[in-house]
Amino acid sequence: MSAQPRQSVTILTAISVGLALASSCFPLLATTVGKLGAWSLAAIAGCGALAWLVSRAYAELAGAWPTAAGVRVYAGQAFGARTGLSLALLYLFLVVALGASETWILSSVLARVASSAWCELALGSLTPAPASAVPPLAVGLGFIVVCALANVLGLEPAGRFQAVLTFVMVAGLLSLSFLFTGGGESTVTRASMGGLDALAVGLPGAMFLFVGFEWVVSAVEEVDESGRSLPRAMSFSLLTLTAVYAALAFALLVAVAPADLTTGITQHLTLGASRGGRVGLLAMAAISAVATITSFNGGILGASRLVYALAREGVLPRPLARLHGRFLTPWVAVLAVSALTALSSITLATTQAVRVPILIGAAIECLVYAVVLLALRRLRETQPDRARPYRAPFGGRASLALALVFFGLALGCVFAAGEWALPTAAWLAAAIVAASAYSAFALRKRTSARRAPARIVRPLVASAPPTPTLPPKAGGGSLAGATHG
Amino acid sequence: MSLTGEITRADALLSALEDFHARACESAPVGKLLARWDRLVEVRALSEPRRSFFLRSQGGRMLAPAPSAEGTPDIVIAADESVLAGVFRGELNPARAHLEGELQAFGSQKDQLVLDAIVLLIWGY
Repeated sequence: MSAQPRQSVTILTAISVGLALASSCFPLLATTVGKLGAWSLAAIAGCGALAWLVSRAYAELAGAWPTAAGVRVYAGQAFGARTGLSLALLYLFLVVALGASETWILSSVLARVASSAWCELALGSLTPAPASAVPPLAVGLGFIVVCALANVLGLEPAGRFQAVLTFVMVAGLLSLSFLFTGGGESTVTRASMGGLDALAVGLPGAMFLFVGFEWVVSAVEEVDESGRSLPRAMSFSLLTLTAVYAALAFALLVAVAPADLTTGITQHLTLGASRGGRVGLLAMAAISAVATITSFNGGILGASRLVYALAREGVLPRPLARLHGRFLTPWVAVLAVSALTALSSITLATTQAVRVPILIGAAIECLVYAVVLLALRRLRETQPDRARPYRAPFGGRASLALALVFFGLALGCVFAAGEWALPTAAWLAAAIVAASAYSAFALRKRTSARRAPARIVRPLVASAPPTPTLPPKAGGGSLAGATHG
Repeated sequence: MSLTGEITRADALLSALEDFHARACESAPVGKLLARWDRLVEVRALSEPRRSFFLRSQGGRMLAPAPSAEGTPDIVIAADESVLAGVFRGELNPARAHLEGELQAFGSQKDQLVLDAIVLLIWGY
């Protein structure tokens, strides 16, 4: 007998695609095309293949340890609790960083649409107005507030609705890419094929395009227990993502001038406007909005659940484990993650360094992938008898070699930041050190708490004598306080 | 394992569930939670002897644990018997057991949150 409801492979594929395909991908894809020219297609295919290999490792580990905590458990089992917790905290940092860049890009998209509409009305042109009519920071913060509210109220889009939304977005992107490739009267000088230097810079960018596909493993507790659904869903997802990015990259290559490809963060709108006029611009903006909603909302939802679980475990402050009495949602965790994302957005608005959080996110993901590959290898050695419904078609030295590739890509992300390489490296190092130090502190604190005198269980029978030495545990023991919002 | 040993272990899990059920019934905050939560929970022991008990919440009350139940469970909680008994006796933190890979939970994340909240209300951690 198994639990219901079950998520189908189709819905899991949609969740995976929706989480990976974000608005942040568009400027990074354009920059990759600008730097690599036609090589960008090979880079996309190569990174898609690398992501598929990682997905096999995730599939094996998710089958053996079917938990929403994912990498926290895999790394914990392989390398100890501190490594597992450090990675979970890095994931939170990644969600906050990417959330900020995602909202910033979406607000820039909306600002450009608004200013283009203004220009069209006033000047009959699609050229953006010099000063935006829509303040991007206000739009970004407004979006975060709306998402936070929806998550506190428990307004999660149903799986099928989310799947439809994602597949409409994919179909729209593929159709528009083919349309823009063939359409248009003007031709542009195509971006030249970059050399090895460009490849070193462009590859990490291409890898970022697939970041987030694996977050679907957090749904492992909602899928069948045979362990077959997730591996198939991740394969379909990566195939879909590779096709979409390749089609869009080709359209950008043939339709957008090289100088425009590496400038700004709304190149996909430039593509839409140059080949499809106002309709093209609006269509790309709509796709961008859907991409942000599916990825950002999923990120906030997943991160808040992780924060809740860590607080319940006793490694994050206890108030973060409060559930709303009426909506049954981890409202404090949702607000905490949203507040951090808002703070990150404000920082981004002042520095305008939108590529920094994206590349930090990509670097963290590459490190996580490397650790997952090493965990696969180690757990096969240390726990060979554990049931594995799915086995990755590699292991041993191949895992080690792949892990080294991802460590290299993580370094590449830092260099890809160009003039921002130093701040990117500094933020990344600070995040790793902070996560590791906090993990050590929290686990030591938890161990000390364990050594405390054993807890006395409250007597159930009312007439039994009360235990005077039994103060309820903080926030618990008494039956009040755990769920009240 | 002797027959006597198996019976003793079976009793340990069932008595933990019965105690949990009694505490859930006496708790007003838990009753408030259950008022909007009609679900069937399967508690599945993965260690020998493998078996399941079912907890059902209906109309704001939790029904007594039973070895069988009609319908498909909304949540399956699976672990070794000692872990399950520890969680339902309030000796093990379920979140920690889950994050350490000792306890598996299948079902929607929202239902898992509610079940976790019930444990939290009853045992305080």
